[in-house]
Amino acid sequence: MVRGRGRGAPPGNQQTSSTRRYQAPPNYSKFAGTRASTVATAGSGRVGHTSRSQRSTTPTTAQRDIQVPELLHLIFTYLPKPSLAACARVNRSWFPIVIEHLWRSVNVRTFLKLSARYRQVADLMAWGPVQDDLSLTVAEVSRLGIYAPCISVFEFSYHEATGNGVQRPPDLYIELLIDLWCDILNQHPTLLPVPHGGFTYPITDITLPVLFPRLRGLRGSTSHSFAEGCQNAEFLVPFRPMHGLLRPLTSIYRTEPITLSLIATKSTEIVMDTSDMRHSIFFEFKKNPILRRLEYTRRSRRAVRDDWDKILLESRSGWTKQSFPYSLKPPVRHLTLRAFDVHFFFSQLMDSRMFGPITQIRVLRLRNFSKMTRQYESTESRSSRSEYMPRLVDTEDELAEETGSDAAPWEGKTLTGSGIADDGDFVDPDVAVTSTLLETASFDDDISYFDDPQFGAGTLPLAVGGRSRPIPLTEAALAEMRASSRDVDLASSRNSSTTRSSQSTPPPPPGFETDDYSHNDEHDDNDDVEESSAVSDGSPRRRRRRRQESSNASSSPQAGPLYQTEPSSDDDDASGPGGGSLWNPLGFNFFNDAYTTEGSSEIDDSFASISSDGLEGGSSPIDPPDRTFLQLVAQSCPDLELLVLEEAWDFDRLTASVAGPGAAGRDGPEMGPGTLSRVRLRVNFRSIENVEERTEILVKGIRRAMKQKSVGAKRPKLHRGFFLRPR
Amino acid sequence: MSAAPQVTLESSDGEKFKVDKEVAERSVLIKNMIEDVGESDNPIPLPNVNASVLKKVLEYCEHHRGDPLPAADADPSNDDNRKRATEISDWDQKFIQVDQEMLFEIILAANYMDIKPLLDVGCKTVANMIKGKTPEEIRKLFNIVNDFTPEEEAQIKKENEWAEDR
Repeated sequence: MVRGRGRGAPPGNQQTSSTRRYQAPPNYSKFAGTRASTVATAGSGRVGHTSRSQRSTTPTTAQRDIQVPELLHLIFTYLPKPSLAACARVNRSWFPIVIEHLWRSVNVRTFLKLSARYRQVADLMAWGPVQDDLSLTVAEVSRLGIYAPCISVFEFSYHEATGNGVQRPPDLYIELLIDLWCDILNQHPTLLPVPHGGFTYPITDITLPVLFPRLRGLRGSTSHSFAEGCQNAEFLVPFRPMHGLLRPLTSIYRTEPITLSLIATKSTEIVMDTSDMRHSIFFEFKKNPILRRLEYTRRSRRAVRDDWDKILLESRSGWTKQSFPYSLKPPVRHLTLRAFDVHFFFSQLMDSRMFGPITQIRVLRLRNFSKMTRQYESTESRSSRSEYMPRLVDTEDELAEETGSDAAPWEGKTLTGSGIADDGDFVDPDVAVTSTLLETASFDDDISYFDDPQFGAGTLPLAVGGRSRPIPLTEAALAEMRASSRDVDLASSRNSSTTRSSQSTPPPPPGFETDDYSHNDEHDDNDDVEESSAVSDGSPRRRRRRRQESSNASSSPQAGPLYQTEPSSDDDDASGPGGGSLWNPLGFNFFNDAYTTEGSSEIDDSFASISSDGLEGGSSPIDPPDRTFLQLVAQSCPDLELLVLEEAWDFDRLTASVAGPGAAGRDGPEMGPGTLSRVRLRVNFRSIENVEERTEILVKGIRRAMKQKSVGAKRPKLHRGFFLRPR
Repeated sequence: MSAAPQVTLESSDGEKFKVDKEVAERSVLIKNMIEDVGESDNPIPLPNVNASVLKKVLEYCEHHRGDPLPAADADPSNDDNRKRATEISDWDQKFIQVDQEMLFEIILAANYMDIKPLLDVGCKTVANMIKGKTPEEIRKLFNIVNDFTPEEEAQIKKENEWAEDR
């Protein structure tokens, strides 16, 4: 909150914290008529800092407020780095505020480049001689003095690829920083504050915090190759002045065999992206007493269930029997898991206790990579090599053409055995992947999913991934399902269509809400009515036109409110200590959507644009988790505030692009777009002790979300499907 | 069935608004006042908010009356996370489609009345207005005068160009 700024709170009414109570007098009328006069922005306010003619004009509220530092701080929190860079050049009053955000997390090389001498070293990309005639100028030191205090996280990358193939361990950069610090103290000792009149002890990295008073963390990245695949990790190690900069980094980077173990146990934030499961790593996480944020991505398509057998074997072999001086209860607040069959993954983590009790989790994000796993696996296993080229189908019409029918797949038809692929090659019917389409076709069934006693009773084992199997539904069964759901859910929407302009969606019950709960249904109701009326009219032309209309209509902002696709802003925002990611040796960071990766901006961009496309078109459905899973979440995470369930589609094209030309096929890698559907459920469990009550809140929340998607939005619709073609 | 308790709010220009207590308590300022002083028939004066702005603010509070309140002891990292997300719900987007003057009035009122979600929506909207614009466009948008010399601006551009291509 901005305190005591703007137009000035009345005396005694300035708040200092959100929890501090306002000491109001017994009678409210004390404040009546005490409207504070508008105050000019103090301190760095720029009002009146221009020419006389401009000074004479009275600034508007907007002009005045856009100069209030506290408001600017709040606004800049939401801006990505490119926008912050532009804001830094707006005017003098914005500059110091902007750079606090922009330079909060910065690569050490960026900082070194502020001086000509060290820019030369950084640009050389190799440890080489520096021209001696380059010395630090007064202007350079003053610029360093402006930016250095803003830095709270230094970024290092182990794999700074260089022109000549030399990789520079990050400790060399630390040595450069120490050199820089020495130069400043030797050449311009009066320009920067030096405690106690100077240093009498050797200048080392221990004294660097004088130059970087806000430094709180070191962000690094590693990449390792194993027999089973590769593993990339980003980590944030808390910085403690007494340890200096050098020791924590060298301890991680120079002890290769146990690097991962060190990272896992010493970091506060870990973003791990693995091509395969590293079983022991969760035991390491469990030992970490300071771990706050964990993002774990498992890219392998192999079933999680298979991996778990190994894990259990490993745990029996004594991994978990070791004793540690730490509490085996990582204080994780944010947990993100991305994998195929991710619900099962999470359930097993909890069930096997290999990650310990995670009762302090506030934000739980689970991203499931498309639901074609098994079928893909089966087709893949039949082939000698896994050289499949995913084929995108951009529009429904194209999809219909591919299938040789005008009917969309959810209209009672599956794509098994379909089509002509990319360049006219005939596709083996068995290879064509259809499970996504089947899931879409059976989406209406999800409406009554929780009402089904066999799912609602919570008697199922933790087979939350069980629904990812394609269900061979007959046309009649689909029609019946659709009709029954329409009877139940669409009736109210049809009735409300007469008064829709005056009615808005009722508020969610206390205790839960969906993020996009509140929206205007006006547009969506039209679609529903249209859809229901279309039951009797199945002419291909009419259907095609309807799809076109639906597609056009869905481009309005009101459409598809629930299944938000990935906002691009989320991807490009790298502000704050938690943001900004390092260069990644594989140029692959698609899955860490809260981070920006210099090397993968292309992938991010394409992903973001296609995501928007997905939003316009109505998006793909989320596979609803069963009650047992939600019960597990409610039980494991009593402090949960936000549950995010995501479904990522078109995953394979991305992996193909990452794996390189050899894996992608003879045409080389294709930069792949992806589609992401998301349900965000905000909950407040703190006042609810009973697990069943919490479960009920989650169940109702998800059910509401599903119903809303079905009733409020257009009919379920697939944008992009896969055709896998063996080469 | 008894009606929901109501409170009266008085804007700076003397207009009175009778609203449900639950709605008014979306504002932490008002909530604390009511808790401290107790319920009273006297109107609660809001000397920094005029009637048109207060009407908008109450419209927001009315719409979000059932939403969970942000936890007072929220984890700072969680707070960061909240701020990083720049998406605004459809209703909020429509609600905040006002002229610039009103937008900043709403932000100030949200700050004064301590309505965090509304403050966030306002700031996100301003951030979205800034996104993708050049410094000159930003200056023009907010009528800000450039007080940098061309040399200074060039130097800042050079020092921060690493962020532009991220």
